[in-house]
Amino acid sequence: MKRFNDRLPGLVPPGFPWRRELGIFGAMAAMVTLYSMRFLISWSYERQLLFRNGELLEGAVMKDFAPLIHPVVISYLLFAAVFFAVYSALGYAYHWRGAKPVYLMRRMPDRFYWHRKCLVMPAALALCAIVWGLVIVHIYYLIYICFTPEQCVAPGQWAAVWRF
Amino acid sequence: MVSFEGLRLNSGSPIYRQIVLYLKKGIASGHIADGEELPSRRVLSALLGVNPNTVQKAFGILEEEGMIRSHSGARSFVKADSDVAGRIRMELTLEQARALASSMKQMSVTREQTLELIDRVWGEEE
Amino acid sequence: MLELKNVRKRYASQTALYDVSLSLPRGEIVGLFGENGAGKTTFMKCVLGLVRCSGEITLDGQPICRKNISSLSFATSEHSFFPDLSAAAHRDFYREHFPAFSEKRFKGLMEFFSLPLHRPLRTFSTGQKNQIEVILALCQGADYILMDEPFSGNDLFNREDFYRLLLGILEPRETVILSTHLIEEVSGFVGRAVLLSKGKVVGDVSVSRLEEEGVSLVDHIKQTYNYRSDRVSRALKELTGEEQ
Repeated sequence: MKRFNDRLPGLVPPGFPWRRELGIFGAMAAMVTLYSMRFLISWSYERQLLFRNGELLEGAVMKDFAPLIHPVVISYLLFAAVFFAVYSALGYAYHWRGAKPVYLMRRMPDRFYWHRKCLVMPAALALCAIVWGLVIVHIYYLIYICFTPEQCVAPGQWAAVWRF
Repeated sequence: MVSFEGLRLNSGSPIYRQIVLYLKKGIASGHIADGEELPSRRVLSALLGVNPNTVQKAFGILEEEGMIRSHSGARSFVKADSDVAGRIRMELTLEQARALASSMKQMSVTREQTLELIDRVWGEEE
Repeated sequence: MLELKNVRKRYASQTALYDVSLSLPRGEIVGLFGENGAGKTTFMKCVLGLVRCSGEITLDGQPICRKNISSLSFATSEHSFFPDLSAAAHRDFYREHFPAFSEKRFKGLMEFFSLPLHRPLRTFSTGQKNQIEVILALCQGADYILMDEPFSGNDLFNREDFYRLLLGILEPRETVILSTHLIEEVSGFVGRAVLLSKGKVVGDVSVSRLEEEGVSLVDHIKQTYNYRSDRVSRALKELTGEEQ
């Protein structure tokens, strides 16, 4: 863990507040995950419609997984995109703040140094957001499949998620 | 080592000439001795705050006029045997006399009046 | 040899540099003079590749690219350092990315200016910021050190000390190109003066040649810019309505 911590400052522009960046990422990820729980609410609501007085209705069909999960998928994609855009912009803007280290960056023998420093961390975190989103979607899918009465679930639910 | 502490540069004449004059005066008055080492060009330029080329020029002139000789690399030494010193003294004093004569003439003072004035101030204590 | 051929930089509203051609050999101390807006800063930024321009700029015959960019360094009154980092952090950064960085010179200059090594640069006074900016440019290991008005905010004594120091430490292969308003102050220090006006080179003289002709640099510059020495008395006449 310590070695990991030591390498992190090297992934952002010199002196850039990477801890704050991670903190904000964590906070936003928590909020998006919290928001994603609306799936559980809409799922349990739809599931509850399958029953009357504790008895499963004849021919009841559960709402498809896809429309329930799409808001969650979109929110994670949006989160990743916005975070990447904002933090890349902040990384570049950092070189005009207080002084003009941009002049130093643009004179470096390693011409991509500057861009690496501004883009790698936001890209990596955006990727984490997407991966985390996938994990969440998988978890919710398992909940859907395992806790919805089998006879009410139409086939091909998983494939439908990825058909936009 | 020749000290250039006493040299105050002004904008009156080219700097290289002021350096040359400083050295000449030093030799003439005996403050700068024969064989004394001169600071290197770079050190002198830093000391005086002037471009090294200017110092180079001054040294060039001094060498031409036989007042310094350069040795291995950047080291230069004063050459001021009695001949040289005497020549310089003559040169400087002649210049001073010329300057005096010229400014007296400008003020329309005659030769006799000038000599009288010199008599008068000669005895004055500094 | 740093060579510029027909360098031109046009912005939307005006031409900042117009057909600038210059040859700057090594080992010179060049003063770049000109009124505000004459193009001094643009000139430097074009050489450093910080601004796109047309024309040819070569260093020892090669265009300026990643291979030779570290032969050029830059000190500007806008300060090109990271304010949150310390001087030591900058030293480490330069040491890592500029192979010719001189740690010895860095240490000496830091001591000379008594600058703190471990405090973030944003806590420095303006004068100190100028100093660290110039120190970094001098220690990078560059052959051409471009300084754009590096002393705005420094007092006279610091400036004079600095000129002397520079004269003492510069190697024969190093060239300094210094743009400044303080002509009189640097007139003894520079060996060559390049005069810019409205984007064009209007003068390029060696100071020793001027000395031969018995003209001071200041006078030469005034002449070049057609400076009217009776400017003040004329203005006073108008303002006070009197005969001066």
